[in-house]
Amino acid sequence: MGQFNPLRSAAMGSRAVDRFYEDVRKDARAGKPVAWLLGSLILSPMITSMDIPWVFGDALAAHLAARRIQRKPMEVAEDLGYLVETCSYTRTHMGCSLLSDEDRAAGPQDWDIPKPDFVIISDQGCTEWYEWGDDVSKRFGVPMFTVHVPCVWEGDGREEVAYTVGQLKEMNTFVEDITHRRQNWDKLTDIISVARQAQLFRDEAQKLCRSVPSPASIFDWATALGAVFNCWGQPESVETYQAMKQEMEERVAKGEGAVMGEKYRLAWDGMIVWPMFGHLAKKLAAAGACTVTSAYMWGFFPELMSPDNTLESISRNLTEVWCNRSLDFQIENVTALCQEYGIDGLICHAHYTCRALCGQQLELMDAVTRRLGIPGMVLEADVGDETFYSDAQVDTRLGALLETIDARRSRVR
Amino acid sequence: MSATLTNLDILLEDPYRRARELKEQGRKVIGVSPMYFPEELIHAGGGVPMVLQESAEPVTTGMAHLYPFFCGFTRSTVDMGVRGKLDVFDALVLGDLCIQLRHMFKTLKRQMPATTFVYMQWPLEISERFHSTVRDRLGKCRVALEEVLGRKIEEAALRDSIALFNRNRALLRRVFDLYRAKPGVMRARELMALVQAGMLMPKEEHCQILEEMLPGLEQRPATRDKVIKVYLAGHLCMAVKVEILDLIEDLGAHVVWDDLFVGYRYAASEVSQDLPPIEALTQHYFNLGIPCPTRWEPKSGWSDYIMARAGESGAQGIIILMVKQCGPMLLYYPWLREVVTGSGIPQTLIVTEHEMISLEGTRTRLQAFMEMLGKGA
Repeated sequence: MGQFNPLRSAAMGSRAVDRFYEDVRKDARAGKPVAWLLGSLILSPMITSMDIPWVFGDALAAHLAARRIQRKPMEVAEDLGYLVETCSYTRTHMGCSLLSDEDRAAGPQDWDIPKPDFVIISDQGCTEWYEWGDDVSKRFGVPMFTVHVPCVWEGDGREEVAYTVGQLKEMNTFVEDITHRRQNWDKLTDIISVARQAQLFRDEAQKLCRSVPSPASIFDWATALGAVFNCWGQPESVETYQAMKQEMEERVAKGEGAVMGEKYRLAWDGMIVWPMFGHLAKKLAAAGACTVTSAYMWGFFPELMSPDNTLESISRNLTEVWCNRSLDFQIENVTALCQEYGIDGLICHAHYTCRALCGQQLELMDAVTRRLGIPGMVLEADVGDETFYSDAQVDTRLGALLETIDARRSRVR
Repeated sequence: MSATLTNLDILLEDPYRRARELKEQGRKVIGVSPMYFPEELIHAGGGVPMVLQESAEPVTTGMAHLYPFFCGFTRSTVDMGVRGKLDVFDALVLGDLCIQLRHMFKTLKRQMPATTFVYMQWPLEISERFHSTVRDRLGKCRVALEEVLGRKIEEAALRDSIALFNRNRALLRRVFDLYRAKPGVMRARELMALVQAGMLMPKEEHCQILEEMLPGLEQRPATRDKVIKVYLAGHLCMAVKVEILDLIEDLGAHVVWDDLFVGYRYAASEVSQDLPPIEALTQHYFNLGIPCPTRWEPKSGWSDYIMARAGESGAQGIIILMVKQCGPMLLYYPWLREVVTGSGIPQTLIVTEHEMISLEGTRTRLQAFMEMLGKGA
């Protein structure tokens, strides 16, 4: 019925990823200290501004899974005792870092990740980064710093923001002491200015998805994530979102959709099924279903950054990210997205090994259905481990979801 | 002694029976999520704290609220919550030592709108950096609890409660010492029942039971010899199924040390009686006696503790008990396995599930492990 019609501009993100990792390898070979970040990317500007290369473990795992080169690292991890129920991002990242020299040499360049000199974790939305970071710290004998992000469940979050700013200052001292480098506050301000530009383009581009058909799907946003995750605050992130916005505007003018033959507009909750990315994009498109919006995909960096107050900006984006908020907030957020983008149904990706970012989906789906009357489905799979994916299950449930939407439409008429 | 333990078994079949009885007497009963919230705060305000327990019943209605790939404790508790089994509590105090407990809290809060919830977000780095954070948050919990209990939590009352709970821990540790030193003096399942009962009844009553039981226990001789000495590690938040404990003993093993939550961990350390009470409770969070994989302890981790205690206790093997889908254990296990394997002490991993369909797989695994240990002895 429909056809997947990806944005060309979103692929800029993929190319940016390759350049990013190449630079990291080059900097490490040149003797620069290497940081590993776990938990939040929003800390990366403070590292970049000190000219320290870094690897964001979560993004590396997603990157390998999207390219379907995560299986060997996961097998290595499993041999070392990381059971299959363990977060597949952890398994992939740790497995990749613990590959034998022979395996690494025989594998893709993506597996060549420099070892850390220190590790930083932040715990917004999940606590397992403590154990993951502890594991890194012990195995590589490197120091760890933790940023403890208080949940913002009520109030305006000012207290939590101030509390976290204090820790960012401590983190800065930690990095300075370890690396004997000084923070370059001017450079940090510049990075935040660039990040702000990217946010503005992103926010404008997202609004274009209100059009019918939607000029982009979450698969486009996911493709662009490479530029966001690895080049946040760098020109590539601005260029990617600017190009996406322009291409989307052209599509809106022509009435061209991300799914040719869009019949159903869906919201996606949870992370991407990275190993089945293209397969799922085509499957949904074939059914005429466009995943128009996603609290997860659009939820990074929720607060517009301000170069006038860099640490507070970083802190706001740590504390106010949706997964650090109350269930009520999440329900309001998804309900608003569904209303604004004319959503017919909800797909909740229940990722088997990540309990953090899907733990409230059953409550969320129940609440949104009660409020808006739109149906939802649970898609059981995983972010990085394709063995948890079943086509038959997806076909059955997707078919039922779309039939329910059809039935609802006929009743409304 | 046996009669007392039989009575405790009855209590464990219906964990919140005592809570209902106390409610009928007009007491305020407050459910506390595992593992480290200071129950003394509740006691000092006149309430009865009870540590929430996994139910023996299968998860039914709760399936619609929490995914099956959550741990048995969170699924079971949500299930009890949506089926009205937690309504007996005047409030629930929930802390998030792991992300699953946080989700459990959020789900229960939506599904139990009439219940008062008190939330404690623990910083999970065990260092001076977070000392004031814990003290401040405990202070806020104190205020919230005062509202639930309808009265001030006075300093003097808090000191008395700390003393009572310390006495309870000391008595429990004496029982553990006897159990370890005299194989066969009581079953592992009885010891666990004793700890679990203490989580489910007023501490005054529990102290009385322990004090009545101890003289008999001290006089009783060891009844088993030629035992295989094992260390039981892990199993956070909830009790080990008694069938597994029976299996371990029936295969010839004797537990010379453990760090199970419904075990020695619950009684391992005392709260200082020399410091101002809130300060003492704060310090206790940072000095629990047994490191825990839910927390990052930069100075000395859980694996260090296990190796030291295994050596001191003469353990021939280590049985690591992991609750299926327990995030902290899943992530700590690879390192622990490496450390234990490197030390030369044999180890085996047993994953336990809420819905235990068959013990046969566990039996085979443990049998092979014991045979290996027996040959090495």
